[in-house]
Amino acid sequence: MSPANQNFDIAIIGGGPGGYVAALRAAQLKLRTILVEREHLGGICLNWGCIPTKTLLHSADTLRRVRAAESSGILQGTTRADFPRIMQQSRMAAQRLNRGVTHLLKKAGVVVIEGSGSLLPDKTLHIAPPQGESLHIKASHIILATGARARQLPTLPFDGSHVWSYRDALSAKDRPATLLVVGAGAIGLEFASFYAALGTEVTVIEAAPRILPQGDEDVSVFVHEAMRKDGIRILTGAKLAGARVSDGRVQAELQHQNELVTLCAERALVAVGLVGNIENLGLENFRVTIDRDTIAVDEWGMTGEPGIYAIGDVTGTPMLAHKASHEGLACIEHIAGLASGPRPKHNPIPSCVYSHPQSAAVGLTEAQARARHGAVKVGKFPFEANGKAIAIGEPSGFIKTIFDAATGELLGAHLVGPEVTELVHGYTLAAALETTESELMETIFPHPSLSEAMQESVLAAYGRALHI
Amino acid sequence: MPTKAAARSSTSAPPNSRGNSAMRRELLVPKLGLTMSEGTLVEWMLAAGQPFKAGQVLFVIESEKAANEIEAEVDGILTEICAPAGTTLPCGAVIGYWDDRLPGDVSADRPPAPPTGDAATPAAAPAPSPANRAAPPAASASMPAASLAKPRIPVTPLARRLAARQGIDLGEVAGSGPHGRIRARDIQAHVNAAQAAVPATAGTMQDTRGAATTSATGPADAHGLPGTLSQPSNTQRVVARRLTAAKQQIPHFYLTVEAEMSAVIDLRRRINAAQSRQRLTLNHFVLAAVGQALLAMPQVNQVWTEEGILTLASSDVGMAVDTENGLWAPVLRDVGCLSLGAIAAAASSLIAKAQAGRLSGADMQGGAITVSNAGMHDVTYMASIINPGQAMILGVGAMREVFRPDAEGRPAIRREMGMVLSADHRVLDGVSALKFLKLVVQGLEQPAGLLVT
Repeated sequence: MSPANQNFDIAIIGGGPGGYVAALRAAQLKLRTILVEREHLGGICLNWGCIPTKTLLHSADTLRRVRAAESSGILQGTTRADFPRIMQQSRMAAQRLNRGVTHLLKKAGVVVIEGSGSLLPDKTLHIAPPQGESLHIKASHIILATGARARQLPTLPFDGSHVWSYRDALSAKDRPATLLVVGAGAIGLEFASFYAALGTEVTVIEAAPRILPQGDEDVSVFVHEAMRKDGIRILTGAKLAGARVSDGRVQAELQHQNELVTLCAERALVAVGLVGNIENLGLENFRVTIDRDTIAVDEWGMTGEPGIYAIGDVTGTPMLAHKASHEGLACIEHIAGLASGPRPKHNPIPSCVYSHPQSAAVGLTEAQARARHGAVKVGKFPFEANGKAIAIGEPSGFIKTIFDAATGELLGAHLVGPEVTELVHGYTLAAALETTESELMETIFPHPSLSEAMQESVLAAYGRALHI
Repeated sequence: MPTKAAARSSTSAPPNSRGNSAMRRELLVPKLGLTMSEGTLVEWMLAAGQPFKAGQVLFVIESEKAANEIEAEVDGILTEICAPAGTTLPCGAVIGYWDDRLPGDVSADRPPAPPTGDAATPAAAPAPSPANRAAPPAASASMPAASLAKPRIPVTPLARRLAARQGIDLGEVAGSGPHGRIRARDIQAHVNAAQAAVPATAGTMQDTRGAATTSATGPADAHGLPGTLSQPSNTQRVVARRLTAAKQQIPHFYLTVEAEMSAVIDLRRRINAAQSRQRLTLNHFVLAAVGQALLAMPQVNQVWTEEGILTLASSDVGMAVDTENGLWAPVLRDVGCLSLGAIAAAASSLIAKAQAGRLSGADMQGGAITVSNAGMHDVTYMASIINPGQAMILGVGAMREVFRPDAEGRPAIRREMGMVLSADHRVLDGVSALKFLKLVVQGLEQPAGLLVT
């Protein structure tokens, strides 16, 4: 039966980690579900974000390890990074997962339509496929999961050849000899790390006084210093005053420490945040509130218009895949009547940066914790004192844990060093279960492991660290 | 407290296993009815160390049916409280200890400890044995027993700590986490609610709570609305909790019918004219119709319990009685086997007891159904909340004279009485509840059948 003749319970516009996860849950709950995706199932995350960048960074890490292999007693010949093959590997990982999502949706019985979705004034969903006639669908509940895209700088607009967005940086044919990265958030630092590892001369500029400006200051300082040692030039407090592309090179002028600095690079990557994809959805006909460039929603994803919901990046920061998936599930369960009333506020959302060194965080920074809670207990434990970190030859970085001094509430954790993106979930779980310092101290951590540094950091907050 | 439960506390002490003084006896959660599996201590009427006389109320315990005042059978002294007010415990759990020495004897060798002013804290009671006295007061020998008997309350570590710091009984906090887990924000919400509900002149408990949370919460009038705030009485709290639980936990469904009452009115007029021994009301006929319907359909005479579905052996019917001190639902026994006259007599007796505040816990136990008659209040339909522990309630409205088309389509006058049956879907399905309701209607429309029991 053609989808046009069916009545759907749920129609989802956008097949990223918010939309496709919502569709899977809806199908689990036996809701008739249609998913409209204009480009690739899995969205930016899977195709142009999280996954392919992790593949590139893994190549960079492998290169770094091979170069350091001698210290592990491994002697080998010349090492060479094959840039096109690295890029190809990244695309293959994305394609494999894209097929996986396609299969999952098919297995779940979700109707998937390729095309751009928009709403007609009577809430009919209009789908314009790449070819052929457009389709009209009726659904009781419409979920906007259209995601976000790279914010463009007026002084340095994307051109796809010299001025890159993350997408161009993921599909470059050749490795530039010099790269200017504008913005020292997660995306900027990950690409800076990758290209620098392969030999590109990288300069990172950041308008804020420090890199990773949203995170804990100690982590910013540590990562800054580590990247500087890796040969990356970082200018903080640097404001882009003007830029132009001439003779195949990007010339940027910055205000840095009251001086006008001119930088020249083969390519520039602009990573200064994201804007929600709110255009061409027909939202102007509905009581959907737009807050700057994102859609305002309540805790269940409800917009001001009954029957229209929004989840994920299009609803605002933090724009993270795991947050989008979580919101998608909550929205579907609310629609299905499984959850109602005021929703418990978000459990803390972890964030990870996969640059070298890795960093990860959950909860409040130390400065935020001090401002909101007054008396806090802060423990910091360095990986230099962790047996496993020494064994694997990466004894660098630290774990910081912050508690409310009065109640022992876990307020935040900030990690930097080897594989910390795989450690942070311990704190996320602890915070979701509302453990205090006491349970974390009593938990038995395996030895030898990097995770022991978590417990030592907790102990350090109460002046009880043992191995330092 | 309006009820005076005749049920006596379980003062018959089991052999004392702890080797303490032979006179030290346990106070247990009494089992006040067939379906009672646990009780909530609403209030201790005296503090540890205080003497009591036979007949004096020791504590108030709330079963699913009602709040019951438990009286002492003999004189004695309350030596120890190990379950504070607000605790819910299974029947038979130890809630405290008493000593059967006469207060005079006690005061001769050891004066009773002064009341602590806070019955919720296990008082440093005058312990009868040296062994007990040596134990640390907060963890005296009886405390572990009481806490072991407590049902496990799911609570996060942080919430547990916050509650302990602020002296909050976790049993009183509603959990918002998965499986009702109490989270830190629930403790905060509980504190905020308590501050909003209790006037500023409240006692020490309020003061300590306020002091502990001043930094985190706003002023006491959290609602910020004009009006007067008053604290509900213990009875009001119990009623509120029971009704909320009933409406939330029992999956109610409702069936509405009208019964043609002309025949009942006529029969009642003739019976009342023929004798003066027992004056019948319409409600007696409704009770009789319900009782006989229960006999005819024993499969609906069932209640949901934690252990399983309980089929009741006799056709007991509860009857809502509105009094100055609250609404009560005493139960008439075996109504299906009683004559109309006997029903009238039993109902009068229970109404009199209710009005005098003398209903016992036993008077309110049992029955799968209650009849709540609002006919005198000029209401057409009343959909009621099922009494906890029962499976049905029949809301009876006022009689109306209405025109209905007769067989030829001409207007005919009918005297209709609206009835709404609220039923527990865990026990009854729509069809069986409807059959039952039809039997009640049939009993009222052909009331001669009610004369034969």
